[in-house]
Amino acid sequence: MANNNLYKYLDKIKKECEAPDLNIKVMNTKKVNIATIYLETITSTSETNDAVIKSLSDDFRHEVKFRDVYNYLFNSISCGSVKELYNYEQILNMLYNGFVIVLIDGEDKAIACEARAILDRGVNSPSSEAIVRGPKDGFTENFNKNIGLIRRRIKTNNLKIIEKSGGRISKTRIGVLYMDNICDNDLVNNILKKIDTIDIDAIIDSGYLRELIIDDSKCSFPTIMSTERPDKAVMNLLDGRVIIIFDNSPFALIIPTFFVDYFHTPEDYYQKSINVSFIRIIRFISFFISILTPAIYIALVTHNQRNIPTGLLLNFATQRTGVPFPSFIEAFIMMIAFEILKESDIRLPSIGGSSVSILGGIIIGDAAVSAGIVSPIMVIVISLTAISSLVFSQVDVVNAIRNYRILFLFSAALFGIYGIILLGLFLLIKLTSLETFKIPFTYPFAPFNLKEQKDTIIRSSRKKLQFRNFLTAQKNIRRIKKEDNL
Amino acid sequence: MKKYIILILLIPLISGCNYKELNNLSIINSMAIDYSNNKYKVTVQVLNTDKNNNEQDNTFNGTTYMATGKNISDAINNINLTIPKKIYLGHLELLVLSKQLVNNKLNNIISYFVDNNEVNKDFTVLLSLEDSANTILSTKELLSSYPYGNILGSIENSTLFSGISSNTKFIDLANSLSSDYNTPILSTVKIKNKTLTISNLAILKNNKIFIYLDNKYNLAYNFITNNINDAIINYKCNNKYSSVKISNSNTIIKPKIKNNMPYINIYITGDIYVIENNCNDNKNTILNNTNKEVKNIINNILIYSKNKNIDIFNIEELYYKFKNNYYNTINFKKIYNKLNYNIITKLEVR
Repeated sequence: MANNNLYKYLDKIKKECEAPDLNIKVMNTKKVNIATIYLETITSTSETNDAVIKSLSDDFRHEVKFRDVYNYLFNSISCGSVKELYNYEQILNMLYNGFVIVLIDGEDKAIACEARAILDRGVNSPSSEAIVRGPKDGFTENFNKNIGLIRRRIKTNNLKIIEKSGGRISKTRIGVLYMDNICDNDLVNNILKKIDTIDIDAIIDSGYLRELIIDDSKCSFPTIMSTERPDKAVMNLLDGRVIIIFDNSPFALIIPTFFVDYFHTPEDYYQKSINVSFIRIIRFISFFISILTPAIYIALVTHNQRNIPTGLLLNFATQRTGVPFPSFIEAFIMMIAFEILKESDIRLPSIGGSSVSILGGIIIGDAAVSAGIVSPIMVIVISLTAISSLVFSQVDVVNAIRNYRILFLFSAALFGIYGIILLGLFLLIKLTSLETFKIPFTYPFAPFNLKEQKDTIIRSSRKKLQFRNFLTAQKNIRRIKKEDNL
Repeated sequence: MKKYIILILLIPLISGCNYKELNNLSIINSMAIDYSNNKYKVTVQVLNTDKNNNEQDNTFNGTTYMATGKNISDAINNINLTIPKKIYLGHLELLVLSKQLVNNKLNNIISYFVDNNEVNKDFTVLLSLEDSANTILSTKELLSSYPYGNILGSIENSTLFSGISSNTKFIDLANSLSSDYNTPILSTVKIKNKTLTISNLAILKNNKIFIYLDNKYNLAYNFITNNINDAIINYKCNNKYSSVKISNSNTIIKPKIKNNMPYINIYITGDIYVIENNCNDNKNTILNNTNKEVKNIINNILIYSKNKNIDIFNIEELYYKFKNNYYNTINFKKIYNKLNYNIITKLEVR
């Protein structure tokens, strides 16, 4: 501190910070003037009173004849973390981080003691990834709590946490977590390098970083998964992947993510493997149903009528009579109506939500059919599609499925089954060409690995899952030790 | 970007599909063709897909339309004048042909349906035995959710589960007509007590009806051609009749050459299930009697076919594939009536 005249300094802070919540208190002792500065909104007032102001007043009362005020205060202030500050920028930074700054007249150092107010909610169950059997805690908006939730599950010094700061204004804390005995160093270095190159004003949520570190704008399938669940994050850490945790965002990022991960939930590993395999097959089926059903229906009724049995064809034809629109338009209207319904259901406060779904259900399900605007079979097709897509908890996947569903619908309306096959090939090529930090997205299908198939479409029993991911955990491949003879 | 545009422009050129909305189609499920005075008379049955007032009713009615023309396409074009929607033959299930047509213009019919890419090739072809083809089509059926479900169902079931008729599909007929070694067959239909009934099998030779196979030979025919799931065999014992069912039967004809003459072994395997044991036979008697009866019926049909000199089991094709050099040295059609055979049954009572 160049200028160690206390009052001049305080004036400078007052002038530059000019905030209604800035609290400056000056205490005059016989020997020296001491000032405490903090922001009321992000600092806990009671803690400030207890720790800083009280100890200062006590010293006041006893009028200890101390020679070195600074050292005495530095050692006697009773709060969690006490830091020494040397310049004005550091002081401002600490001030905005919720610290109480103690300035002493004539000293060229300042003391910062932590008295942060608790501004976040407690650890709640994750709202976006509900499970029945398994831990119910979820990440919160607090960086330290998020790290803590992971540390609770990994009690070893192999868990490395590299803290970065992102955003010129927000200075968001970004924690890059990995297991140094499992994870590939190159992957970590690449991610860190990528984070360093980011120059943006603020990172409000993990979604910002996800878009910035990987260019996946050409495909709607997300190549980096976000999760609210600490157990899922830890599972992925032990698989040799990198987890990125954010301050102010309850969503951690998992790098790299494979296509097959979207068909897995953490719950899969807490239940009996044979039951899980069944559910996983159902998930794969519903993926195809939700992408293809409207397209196949349109292809069958407009181009490839020969491919369905006569009875079914007659059934379709009877239902279609009197419907004024071509099948394609009919399907499109219904799909848009469903998307509107879904969107309004999400955006509306929960009080109004149920009325929207009831109203939408009646209008789309019943009234439109009895009015003869859409055929009953179309309602079945669209609702089957919609329900199947909701199997996936990841919003990005649901949206990607929707995009491709509409594309498939167009190609089916134009070219029938042939068009569906063409677009299917296109989608396959697109997916297999995706990469996250040079790790193929469709592994273990596209670079095929037979050993890895034990935990993809089906899940083998825990004893058989002896290995970690062969692509990301080369360093330490065994999950179950060989000597254990399991 | 350029390559994407080129790709998208190429797609319609190689697709070949055309858009047709389902409710603009007249779905035709049965067709009858008559031939007289050099004119084709085509009758089609259009399924009525308009909504019934009674929504619980899931039956479909058909309406028949008829027109004549110089050839089949001409006749169908003439039908188009009366039908409001486009004629769609993709779901044709039944084709009834008149005797006169089969005897005179069978090849024209075959080529029309083979060349038309909108027609499926898997429909049943029936020959009208007594009446004109369009009378068959205008006979009303009861108890069926759509027209001719009954006759199609009965021909399929009687072929598979009792073996007393044969389901002749168009694709098989077209194949055997185009082949030099195969004998085409046609199921026949007649009106008996105002209902449609499957009648004797017609055997074609040189694109003409040659003979009608008697009903008693039909079972043996299906036996040898493996067209059967369950066969009911009745055998005589003490002036009574007992019945057994033969399931999972499999027949293999093995061509052989003996003294420079063709000689075939017919192996029959299968499981015997007793249905009616009227003579209180034991297992061995049942087996012996069944073996005897099976050999008997197969023997009968072979003798019959040799007498008529018509190779109904396509044995000529077997020799053509088995030993082509040998086949070229003989005239199979001439020596067919001297064909020697041996029937070996390997049946088991379950």
